[in-house]
Amino acid sequence: MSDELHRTVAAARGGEPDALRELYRRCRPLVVRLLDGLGSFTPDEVDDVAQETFVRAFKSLSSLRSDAHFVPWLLTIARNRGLSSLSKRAGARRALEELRLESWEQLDGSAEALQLELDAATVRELIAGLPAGPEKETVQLFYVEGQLSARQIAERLGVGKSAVTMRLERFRARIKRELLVRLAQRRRH
Amino acid sequence: MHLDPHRLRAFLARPEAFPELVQHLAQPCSQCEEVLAQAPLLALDGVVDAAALSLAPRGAADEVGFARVQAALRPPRPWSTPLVAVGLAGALALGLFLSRAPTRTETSEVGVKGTAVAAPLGLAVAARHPDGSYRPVGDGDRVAASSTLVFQYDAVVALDAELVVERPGRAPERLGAVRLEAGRHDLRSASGVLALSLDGEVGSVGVWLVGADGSRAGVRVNVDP
Ligand SMILES: [Zn+2]
Repeated sequence: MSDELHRTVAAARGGEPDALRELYRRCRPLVVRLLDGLGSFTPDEVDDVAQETFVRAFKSLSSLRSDAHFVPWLLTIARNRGLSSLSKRAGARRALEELRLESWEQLDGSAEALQLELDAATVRELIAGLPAGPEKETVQLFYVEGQLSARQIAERLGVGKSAVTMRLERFRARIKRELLVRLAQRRRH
Repeated sequence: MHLDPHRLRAFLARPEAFPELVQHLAQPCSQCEEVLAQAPLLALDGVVDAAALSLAPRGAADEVGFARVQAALRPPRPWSTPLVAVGLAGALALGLFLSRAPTRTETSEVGVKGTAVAAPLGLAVAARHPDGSYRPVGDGDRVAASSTLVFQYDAVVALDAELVVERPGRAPERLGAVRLEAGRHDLRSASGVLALSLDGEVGSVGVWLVGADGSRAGVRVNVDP
């Protein structure tokens, strides 16, 4: 995260109204992109989930320990709200486990350590290392080129949108696995 | 040794305590990856999303909907501000009432609940514009934030009720209690017709009249800033 965004988070936490607007402006495209990869939302649903995400985040800003964690923290909220909206639509009886924001940064040992281990270059390397095939092609189009929507990618590859979502999730699971290994190696040294 | 949700948490807390698992995870394993894909959300997920979504050229900054977020962050206004008794002619006097009484009777999205056995309650709503003109408002209609809502109810028996406002993502806000008489009447207090100002509202706003017997009626409007 850039230092500038960092400062904006600090200012927002200090209650500067323009800083909230700036955070929203800069981070909404990320939230919208995340939701696009997560499932089939109508434009209205994207607006609603994005709104809920920012309201929840801005109301809980004081519980965030480090300004540097803002983006991953926000995206965890977005994923939680998105999944909860999808499961509500599917008529799930049991509500999705409520995200406990207060303990977010402690949950995984340390969010710092995770962030240190995972930067864009590492994700690029992982993509490069994928065997040629539909998963690599999907990930390349969605995460690296970032121009087409998940639906457009599905059309181009001649599959359903849910196949694109599944491939992205599989890739995310690979990154998580790699991240766990790196976390363990760092602790050892 | 494969991952499971419990072991995943333990691992994240003390990865050095699981050398065998580290060795195992160094190779692709569909079973472990399935657990990683399905586990409840963790900071891990946010870190992965932040890194993966940072690869593509950044999309243009976008503040679509910021006004709605801002409105939701504002503290709820006290009952005296938005709902006021005014010296207006009521909807009834103006002939604005809808002939079919209940505007909306299913359970609202945010949790205003009612029962099916209660006597039916009806609520008709009209918007008063700054120029003094009135327009009946139906479920889903767009209404300008500069307007004021006035209400007319239809009750089978006399009962106590509350007027409640709902906004997405927020707890329902109770605006205040009213005594309803049997029949069709303007919603009013001793001091006059009750009007709800929409000033400062944005997006979806639901207004519900909830009877003490569990009956309810309401309307959801979309407020344009
Ligand atoms: Zn395994």
